[in-house]
Amino acid sequence: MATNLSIPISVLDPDGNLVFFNRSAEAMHGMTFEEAGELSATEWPTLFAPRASDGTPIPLEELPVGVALFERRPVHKTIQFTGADGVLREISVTAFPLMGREQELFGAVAIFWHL
Amino acid sequence: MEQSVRQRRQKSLVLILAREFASNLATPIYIADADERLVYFNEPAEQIAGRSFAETGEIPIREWAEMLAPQATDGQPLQREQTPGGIAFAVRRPAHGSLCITGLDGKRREIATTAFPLFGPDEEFHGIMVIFWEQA
Repeated sequence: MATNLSIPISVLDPDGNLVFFNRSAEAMHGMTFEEAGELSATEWPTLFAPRASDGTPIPLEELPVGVALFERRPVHKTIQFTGADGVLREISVTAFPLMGREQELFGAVAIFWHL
Repeated sequence: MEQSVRQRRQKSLVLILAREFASNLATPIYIADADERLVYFNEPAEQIAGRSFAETGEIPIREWAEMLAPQATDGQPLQREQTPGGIAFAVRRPAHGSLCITGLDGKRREIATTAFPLFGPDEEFHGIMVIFWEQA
């Protein structure tokens, strides 16, 4: 599904590892998924340095995907991050948990767009 | 004619994939096609809308919007074009906002809504997907 959409989408596993982002997200991340590969829950926040609009760093659990994963609820926020190309971007993010019918957590999806 | 058949197939594939994706999620989602028809909403959305998709069936999205009587959080009525779904459809870009709806069960709810256009690999517009959730 994410592969076939033109809106940037990232997918995380239940541990917060970044396991996929689609081609539209590659432009935002400043690198292709092939270049990045899967990034651990400690690697990608370090690489992209997500922060609030005032520059305050945002820890994983307070990022939209963190809220989706750890609180298991959808959320929307505006944040900034630096792509691997060094460009600072401000984005709107909606993240929601990937939960099955038995309420089991499979991960989280982040849909985002440039402001 | 061959191109027309191919385009119809491709449109169907994007909407089928979107529906399959939505049907497996616990987050409320509805999908409208490029002709502004509500073509699906998932089980979690039924709890907010107050009716099942089986009961509603495919209907014009404006009819769906009128049924839910969207309002701004201050109570002002919202036109379809002012809602995230309406913006995603008309302007073909993602949109997010908070609004109030009255479900078909008569309950008024404040919801957060994110809507985005569904473009296929060929950049053809196939409709919109709308993710929404009740705000605490």
